[in-house]
This record gives sequence, structure tokens and C-alpha cells, in this order.
Amino acid sequence: MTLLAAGEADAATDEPQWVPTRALGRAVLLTGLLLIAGVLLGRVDLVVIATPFAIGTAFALRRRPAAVPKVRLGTDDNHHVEGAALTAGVQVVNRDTVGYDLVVVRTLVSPWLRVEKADRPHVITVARGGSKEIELDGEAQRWGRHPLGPASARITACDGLIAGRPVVSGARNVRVYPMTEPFDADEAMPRAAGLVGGHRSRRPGEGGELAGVRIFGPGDRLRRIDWRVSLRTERLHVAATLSDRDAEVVLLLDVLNEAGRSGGVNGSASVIDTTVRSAAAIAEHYLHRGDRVSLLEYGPVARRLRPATGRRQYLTVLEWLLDVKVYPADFQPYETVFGSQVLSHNALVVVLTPLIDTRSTEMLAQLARSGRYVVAVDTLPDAAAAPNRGPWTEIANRVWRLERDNMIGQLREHGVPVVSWAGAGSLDAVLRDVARLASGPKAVGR
Amino acid sequence: MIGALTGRFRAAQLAVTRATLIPLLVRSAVFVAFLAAMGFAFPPAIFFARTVAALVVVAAIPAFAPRGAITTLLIVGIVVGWVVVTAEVVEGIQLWRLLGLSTALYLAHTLAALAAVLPTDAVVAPEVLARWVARAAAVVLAAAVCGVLLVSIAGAGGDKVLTAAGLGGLVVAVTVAAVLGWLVKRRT
Repeated sequence: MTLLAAGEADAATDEPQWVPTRALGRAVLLTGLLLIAGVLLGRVDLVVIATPFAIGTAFALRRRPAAVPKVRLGTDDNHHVEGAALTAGVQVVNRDTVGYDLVVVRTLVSPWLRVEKADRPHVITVARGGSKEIELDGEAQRWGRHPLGPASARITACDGLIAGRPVVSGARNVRVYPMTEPFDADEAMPRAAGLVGGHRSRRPGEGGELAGVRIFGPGDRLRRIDWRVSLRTERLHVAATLSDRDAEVVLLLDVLNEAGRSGGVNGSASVIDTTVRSAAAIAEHYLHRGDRVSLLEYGPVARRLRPATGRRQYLTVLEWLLDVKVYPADFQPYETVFGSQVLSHNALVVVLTPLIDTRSTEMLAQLARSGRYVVAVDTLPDAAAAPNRGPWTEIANRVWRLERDNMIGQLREHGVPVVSWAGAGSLDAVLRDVARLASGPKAVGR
Repeated sequence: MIGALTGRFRAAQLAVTRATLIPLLVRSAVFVAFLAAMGFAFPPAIFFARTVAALVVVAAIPAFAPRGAITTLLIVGIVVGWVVVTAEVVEGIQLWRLLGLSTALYLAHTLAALAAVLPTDAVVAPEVLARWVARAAAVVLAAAVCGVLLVSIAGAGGDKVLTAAGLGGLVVAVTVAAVLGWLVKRRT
């Protein structure tokens, strides 16, 4: 594995100044003091005591470091997914003619990259003209961009008599993509946008799904003729098909609030964790089926990813999701989010929300009133509860839960299905309802 | 005041719980080297009196604070003690005791230099300690040979030779101190 070939962080270019340590001052002081005292007092024993100090200092200082050491920081090139192994490395390069007796390397590592012994300094030696690498093996615990580095190296040479100022490498971000929970929705889309795509429709047209056999008419293609039926009935018949249609799925991520405690890939999930992981799973599913998927943040920043299809869009979605953050706002961001954005009228809007903010509820109701096909995915973790602050906390928590259930019921009455995220098949039941609603006439309040 | 003390106590507690083997070994070696130097420098009777506790505490200070000036002061103190103790019996100094003292003092000095730059919670490659100790051993061996030669030369010479050696030694001492001082100041 070439750790440093890719994503190599540049070391600091400042020339380090090699400085004498207190030990050098001590050695010189003792040597001089003992030799002079020995001569003045006429005592050879003091000269003998001074001998190792003189020899040791002279031996250590026969060559002194002059070149600038280099510190590099790198990671393996793999795409890291939550729970995947991660290998980082810090390399110290000695370009001098003197070996480094002791190099203390410290590296700052995000707590979400569980790197073994990363919180401790590592001490190594580096021979002259050589390099040495410290491998830091760990595990990516949570999605996001996690800082790795900078790494600093403090070098000591000449038996601890000369020390260099710390050399610091650059830092870099490790991208950890969310682990997509298995998701599969079998139900058809409520309304498609075009006459191409992966969803069978009820509209006749060029497609792969057989709708029936009918008598040949003007405009029918010859390759559609069903010769077996035509010979039997002695009249030309053609195989009629349903058109294939694509659809746009808009994933709306509610980033107004965070709740619950994020424990990484093997621990509990917070609201944002569930939001990001489920968004990745839903996007992967629909993009795999050939639909167009766009993403939108419901918050003051209102980031948006344009609709597109294919594997490239899936990678873009994963990249986009890495930057999802909670942005608290004191105002209703509906106009900010939807004011300048043109949301396709036929799009299926999947809103990932914890439903703990009335602004989110109002947004869902407004979307439903405007005739959108809206599905709300409840991302609030089951274990999420207010911190215990007294005997009334439990009761207050229960009342709040009841109010929330009541609000969810009202949303359902307004035609907004709400479903808790549970991986595979989470949306099937609600998509069936939405598809049924979409097939009938609908009055839209404008 | 109490908060600061509590903070220091917690920091010390954390340092102890996080300490790793090799830095602890190095600091223990500093303590043992100073204790051995005292053993060589002072009369044995002092270790069988109440003063032994004080000696142990004093020897332990550089192990806890190797970056401070206490290491230098303690070496100077031990040498002064040696000079005082042996002032009346200069001719009867045993060679093994002298070599033991010089070896112990140098080991205390170089191990304190190592302990000063070695964090207590560091993950240390074993070769770091092995190379350091090997270099120190080489220096100690060379110094012991030189020491034996010096003592032999001093014992063989008469008064005139000693006077000439004394003057020559003074010149050498000043020269060595000046050279070392110049090496320290020289910019790399």
C-alpha cells in the first residue's frame, strides 16, 4: 500500500532552528567546571569524573543536523464507508547526514476515526538519509468529513544535546460515506414525468410491459404485429404495451433540529444519522431503477442537488450528504427553500424529518395542500428523550409524545403519510396509498 | 488556589494512569543512577542512618522533573560531596569507586536528557532506548579506559611532572570548555 503517494499533505516549509537543549548546557558546564577544579585542586579524580562528559559531548557533537526534516501524512485511497477499516500513516523523512536519535510524533485524529493509540505520541528513530513511517490503523465510525492531522514531529539528535523545533505537516479530511441501510420499494411511483424510465405506467405506449393484443391500426409498427394471433383470427393484430416512464424523487432533508445521541456505526443513531443514511439508501434504490433523484435541505442554508440519474448521480449524492449539518433557524425557512426552487409538480417528495418542530409540520401540510405527492419519513430515534431534570420529566416527555402522535395523525388526515424509517420496505405501504390517491381526480388548492 | 491544586492533582493522576513502560523505565533508571552515584560518592555509613530517606527523596527529584535544573545541581552536589569526603584521603581513593561514580553520574546525565524529551505516555519503539543505552555504554567504556590511563599517569609522575601536567591540564581544561562552548553557540 502506498500511503503517501495519494493525498500527500505538504509539510511545513519553515526552516526549523536546531537549538541546544538543557542537557548540552549541563554537559558543557560540568566538563569545564570539573576540569578546571581538577587542575586547580590538583585532583585527577575530578578529571576522571569529567572524562565521560567530555567524550560523550564531543562524540555526540561531531556531526550536527542542518537539513530540514519532512513530515508527511496520508491515508489509503479506499473509499471509506462507515465501519470500514482505515489506514493512515505519518512518515518522517531525514534528509540529513546525522541520524535522529528520537522523534516524537503526535497526530490529531477525529474521534470518529477510531485509530488505535492515536491519542499517544509515538517515538521512533530515523537513520540518516532514511525515512520511517508510523502506521495508524483504525475504523471509520461515522459518516462525514473527518479531520486527520496535522501531525507534528519534534526531533532530538546528538544524544539529546540538540533539538529541533516541531515540524508540522498539513491536515486532510477523510471522507466517510454513510452506510446505506438495505432499502427496497416495490410499489410504483405515483406519477411519472416522462415517457422513458423504469416504471410501468397505465398509459399505452412504447415499452416492455404487455398491455394486451388489439387489432392493427394506422401508425402501428410492423414489428409489433403478433403473427400467431393474426394467423388464427385472419386479421392483423398487434401486441400493445404500456409505456415505460421515469419519475423524479425529491429527498427533502429536515436539518432544523438534531436529537438523540450519535454513537457511530455500531451505536445509537441521532436524527441526522438516520436522515443521512436513509437518504443514501432511498437515493441508491431509485437511481438504480433509473429515476431522477434530487436532494434539498430544509433549513436556512437550503442546499440543493439538481435532479439527475445514474451511478454518477449516486456518487454525487453521497458526496453531497457528507456536508449535511444541522442549521438552527429562528424563522420558517419555507420561502427560502421553495421560493427560488422549482419543484417538479409530478415529483415524489420524500421528507426526512424528526417531526419535532412545528415549522416542519407546517411545511409538510403546505406541500400536501399544493398537490405534491408527499411522504414523511420519521427520523426521530425511539430512544430520544429529554434529559431527566426532575420528577416531572417523564410525565412531560409522555405528554410531548402524545402531542406528537396527535400531530402525526392530523398530517395523515391531510393526506401526508408518515412512516418510521425501518430499512427495507419502509415506504411500500405509504407509496401504495400515494399511488392510489394519484390515480384518482384530485382537487388542488392553489 | 484549591481549584488549581485539584487540577494539578488530576493532571498528575491522569499522567500516572496513561504512563507507558519505557518512559517509566528511563525515569527509574535516572533515579537508580543518582542513588548509585551517591553510593559511590558518600561513605556507606550515611545509608544506614536517618539521612537515607532524604537521599532517596533527593535522588527521586530528577526522575520526576528531568527538564529542570535540579539534575545539574544534584550532579554538582554529589561531586562536591565526593571532594569533601575524599579531601583527606586523596591518595587512597579506590579506582573502582571513582570509575563507578563517573559512570553513574554520566548515566544519570544522559538518561535525564532522554527522560526530558520522552513523554510519559508515549508509545516508544524499543530500538530508541536500545540505541541510546548502547551509545551511553560506549562512552562510559571509553571514559573508563581514559580514566584508568589518567590515574596511572598521575600515579607514575613525580612532583615536577605533576606541576607540568597541572599547567598543561589547565590549558587543556580551558581549551575543552571553550571548544564545547563554541560548539553550543555555533549555528547550524
